[in-house]
Amino acid sequence: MKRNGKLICFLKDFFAAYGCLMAVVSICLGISLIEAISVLVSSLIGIAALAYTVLKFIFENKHGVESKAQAIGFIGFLIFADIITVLGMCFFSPGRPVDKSLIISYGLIIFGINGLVYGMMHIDGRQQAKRINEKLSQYNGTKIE
Amino acid sequence: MKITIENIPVSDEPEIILRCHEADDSLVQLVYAMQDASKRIIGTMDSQIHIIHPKDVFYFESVDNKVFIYCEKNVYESKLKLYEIEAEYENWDFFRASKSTILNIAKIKYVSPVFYGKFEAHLLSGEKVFISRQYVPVFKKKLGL
Repeated sequence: MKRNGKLICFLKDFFAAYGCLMAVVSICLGISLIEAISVLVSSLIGIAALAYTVLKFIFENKHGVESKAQAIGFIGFLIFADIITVLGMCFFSPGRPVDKSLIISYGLIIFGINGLVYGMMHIDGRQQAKRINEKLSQYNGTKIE
Repeated sequence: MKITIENIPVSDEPEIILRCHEADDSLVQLVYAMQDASKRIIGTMDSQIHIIHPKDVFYFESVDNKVFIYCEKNVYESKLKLYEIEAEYENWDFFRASKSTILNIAKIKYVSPVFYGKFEAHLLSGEKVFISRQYVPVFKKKLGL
């Protein structure tokens, strides 16, 4: 897919996520008898939609892209999504943290969890690949020609 | 396994009788292989029609609503849709590797993990094809894992 096509898809996903979130928030606020959506809530919806779109983008199949480039893109966009979330919390959240050390703690926890999950996935992937390769050699060795 | 070939009169229809204790997977595969032995794929290249044996196919790929057949050296275009190929050759060594790819297990040299449950299949031709996370169970099932 060309860059323009990717950008259009990205924007489509963003607006779809934004629209869905806006509809959900509107219903929730309507139930709570709040008639207007504040700029703050609107901005939070935008940030959430952007974070979702970035995450969706990194999990999509990148055909024709080398595995290393995919991994770099994956980690890069994952960090980007985390930064969006942390910045959203810092600037737009109603009970936003003003303490710098707290913000750093948030960041460290998020990146730490991401790193841990990624590490576990990598180990699991290697074990699975080993099992598959063993079975693959058996399969191709015994299959009927 | 004991194999017996009997000569029959010209007027009789050739017949295959399988005598076994239980019809296991390898036997079922053998039956399908006998039934589908004459199956061929039609592909076009440079306005020429080519008849391809499914065993020679490395993978099928859909690009911009066109389906291509990747063999060791040549790439042909197929008139069939990817879902039609998937249904037609499900009893062969083919499996759906991603939304746009159907891969021949017999042509996979080995697999390596990429990330997030995704795998990269290294083919005998030296090409690399991604196996999406959602299709890994299909691949494992095919291998008997």
